[in-house]
Amino acid sequence: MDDTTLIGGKTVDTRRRGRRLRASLAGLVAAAALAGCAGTGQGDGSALDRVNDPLEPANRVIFAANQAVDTVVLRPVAVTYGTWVPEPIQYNVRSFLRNLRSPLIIANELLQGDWEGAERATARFFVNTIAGAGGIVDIAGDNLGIPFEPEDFGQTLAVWGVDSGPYIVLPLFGPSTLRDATGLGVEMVADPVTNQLDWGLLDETPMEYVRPGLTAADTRYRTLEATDELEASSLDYYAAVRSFYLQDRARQITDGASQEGGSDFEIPDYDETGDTASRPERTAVGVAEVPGARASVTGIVLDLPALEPGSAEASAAEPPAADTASPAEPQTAALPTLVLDIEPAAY
Amino acid sequence: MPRRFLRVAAVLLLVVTGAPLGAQAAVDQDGARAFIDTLGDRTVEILQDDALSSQERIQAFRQLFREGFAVPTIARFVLGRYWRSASEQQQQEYLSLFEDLVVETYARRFNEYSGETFEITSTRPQGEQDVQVQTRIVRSDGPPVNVAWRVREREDGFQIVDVEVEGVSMALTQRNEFAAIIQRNGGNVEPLLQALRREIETARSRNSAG
Repeated sequence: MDDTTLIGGKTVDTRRRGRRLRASLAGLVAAAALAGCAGTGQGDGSALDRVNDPLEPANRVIFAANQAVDTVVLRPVAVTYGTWVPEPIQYNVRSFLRNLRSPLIIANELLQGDWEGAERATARFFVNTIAGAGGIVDIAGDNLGIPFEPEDFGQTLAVWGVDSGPYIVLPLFGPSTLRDATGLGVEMVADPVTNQLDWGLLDETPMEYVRPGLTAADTRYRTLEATDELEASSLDYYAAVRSFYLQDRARQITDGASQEGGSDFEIPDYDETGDTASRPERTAVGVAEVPGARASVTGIVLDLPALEPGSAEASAAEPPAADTASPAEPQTAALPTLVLDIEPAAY
Repeated sequence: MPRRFLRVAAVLLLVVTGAPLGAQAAVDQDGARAFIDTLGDRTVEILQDDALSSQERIQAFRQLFREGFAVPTIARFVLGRYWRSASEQQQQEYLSLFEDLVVETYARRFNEYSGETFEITSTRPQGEQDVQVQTRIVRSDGPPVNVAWRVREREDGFQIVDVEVEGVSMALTQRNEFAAIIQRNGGNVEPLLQALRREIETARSRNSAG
């Protein structure tokens, strides 16, 4: 690309360089996303097992490369950060980084039609920026009981009814989907915080390098334990991470509602005695093994039903997975959940 | 307006299809809660019993695991549709390997036990017949972890059929993982069994070394 101009003149406007860097990153993401588009094949098999990963061979290569980068760079940086930076400072850094995301979070809450979420995010932003010394203290979360809620444009797209699309492992960024990668690209270009600084109000260098650097170190340090655990207990780490990511995103999209109403796929009751093999399969068959039930369980793979941006309450309470009743009547399955969403009092 | 429509439509469909509205109310949430409470206490007891050798501890845990978890049900759910493509001999081996895998995986954590406690935060019906008991594991060296236990009432008491860590189902994760291994090996179950044997072997040598 324009590397020569970057290296060539020292007079290169750093602002433009920053923009270009971000633009090319966004381009990379978009390219990966488009590449994902090419093979939007649905995996065969049952609903629970439907993993939309047509690019698996390429994804595995990128996954391995990411792991190498992690071993050589990211993990050592994160461990150093976690070991040498005192816990209170880590807390300040985390609070500050989260506060910087506030404008994006407010925008996404609004776009999702989650007015209460937008209100909470706005309250957090003002309280923490003013009373929390520019955001380094999370007063809203610690003292006012308004915890941080992660929102991003990928989640907004999901609330709008955009299908997750194929699973994609992005270089450096890691697990994603076509939809989430698109969201990431949009946020890179549209983050008001970075753009504001681009307009020359402040030197942008800290934003360009320090913010992503600290975000990476902080995030990686906090996930070290979980990823180590998953890696140690998995036989196929790639597949475990993929499953984990998709389930976790489904939960985020419903703002944690899955803890109250989701993940209600059925686990069929198999015979406790050893003669399971000789039993006729029909008695033990799960909905998961019946193709007709696919529609009722797709939520678990992030296929959320289309929702109007205005139907905030419904979207917040919509669990990712529907119940799966008996194989013969797949639609009935989703209904108890539906009733639960719309009229909690009915219970 | 759309909400009312949805509600009416939902109720109508419920009536038409005869979905059991009251089914979830029948689930014994208090019983499930008490079951998890007891099971948790017994686990902590085993972990804190200094009189036990590391082997005895693993053995005691295996006993507790067999009692408290619907192991064959979980194992079969995890294998999914590939259960049918396995021979009877492979099925039997798989069931025992699965139990070993879970026991050895947990055993690894025993050495790291440092006084974690847990508290039950809430319960809710899950699926058609289960109760989800949500707990918070409080740790001295890190933020608390939310773990939810999917409990099913069976003829001889309650048993756990799934564990969700921060909203991620372990059974589903493992199911996807096992399916990936089988698919990458041309749909054969044998490579999965090999991988399981290898994994258990590694875990055993590590656990006995620890």
